[in-house]
Amino acid sequence: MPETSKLLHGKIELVSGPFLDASRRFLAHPNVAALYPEYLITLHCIVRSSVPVMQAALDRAEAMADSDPVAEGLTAYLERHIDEERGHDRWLLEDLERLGVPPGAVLARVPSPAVAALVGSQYYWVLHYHPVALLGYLAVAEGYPAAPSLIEDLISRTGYPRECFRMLAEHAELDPHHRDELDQLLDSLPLTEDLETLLGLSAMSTVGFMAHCIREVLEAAAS
Amino acid sequence: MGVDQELVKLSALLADVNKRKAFNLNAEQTMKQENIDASMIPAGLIDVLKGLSLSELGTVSSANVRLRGKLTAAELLQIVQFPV
Repeated sequence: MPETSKLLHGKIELVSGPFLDASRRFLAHPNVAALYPEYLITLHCIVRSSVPVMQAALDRAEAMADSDPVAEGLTAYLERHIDEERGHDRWLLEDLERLGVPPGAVLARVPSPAVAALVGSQYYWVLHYHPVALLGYLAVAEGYPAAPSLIEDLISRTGYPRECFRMLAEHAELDPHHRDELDQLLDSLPLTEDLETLLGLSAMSTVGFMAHCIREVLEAAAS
Repeated sequence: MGVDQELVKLSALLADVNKRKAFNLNAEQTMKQENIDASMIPAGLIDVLKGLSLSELGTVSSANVRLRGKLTAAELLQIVQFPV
């Protein structure tokens, strides 16, 4: 059997067609300058839940750790990763403010059902089954960072200053390291077949919800 | 027969719960029974499918997406990510 991380990336890529299609539509859009702030607002809706959902997973993992070696294996990783991810929602608000979108307008936007499903499904699995589910979500979100060339293309095509792309640029640099760290953790955990399935379901549903989120960005900019 | 036709047949196989169960037990034999030319399927895709549990196969089927193998280097450069 392939390593857990290799198989998980295979599962992610197996269902990645719609995500790739939506990404291409975004990148090829004639008015990508109008899409970019919408994309950042959607991203903020997601990212402001990152630390809270990881904290929920950490709390669950700590509560289970005495009798569950997988939960025990999660705790140090989540403690460290929460610190690494803290404050990234502020980067987004700053990027948006430089684009002329005030923080109040971002926070007033009602998060879409796709965003709620993306993050909410993680809370469900974490709180009502096993916190390792969150690694499936992180494997997607951190496993395929925006390429530096994509960011340069967006800077050029939108005409926005480089300072409006801090969130993407920082993650393009940080996430390859985060991906490797996560893959090492995945391959070290004593996962049962059920937990391997949970990881796959979490990751594959994350891909589907993210594709939906990009389609919503495309539609919002068209309306 | 082209790759698209083989993928359509594979998707149809996975859409049937009984065939999905059979695939989960013996992928090669089930594909053979459905006249799927596995040599036409993109590299690595069958290996991933064989690594899925029955409930993951159900999720893949209900997602109703065109199945695919690994993302190419060029495709990886086109992903508009939601980095958390």
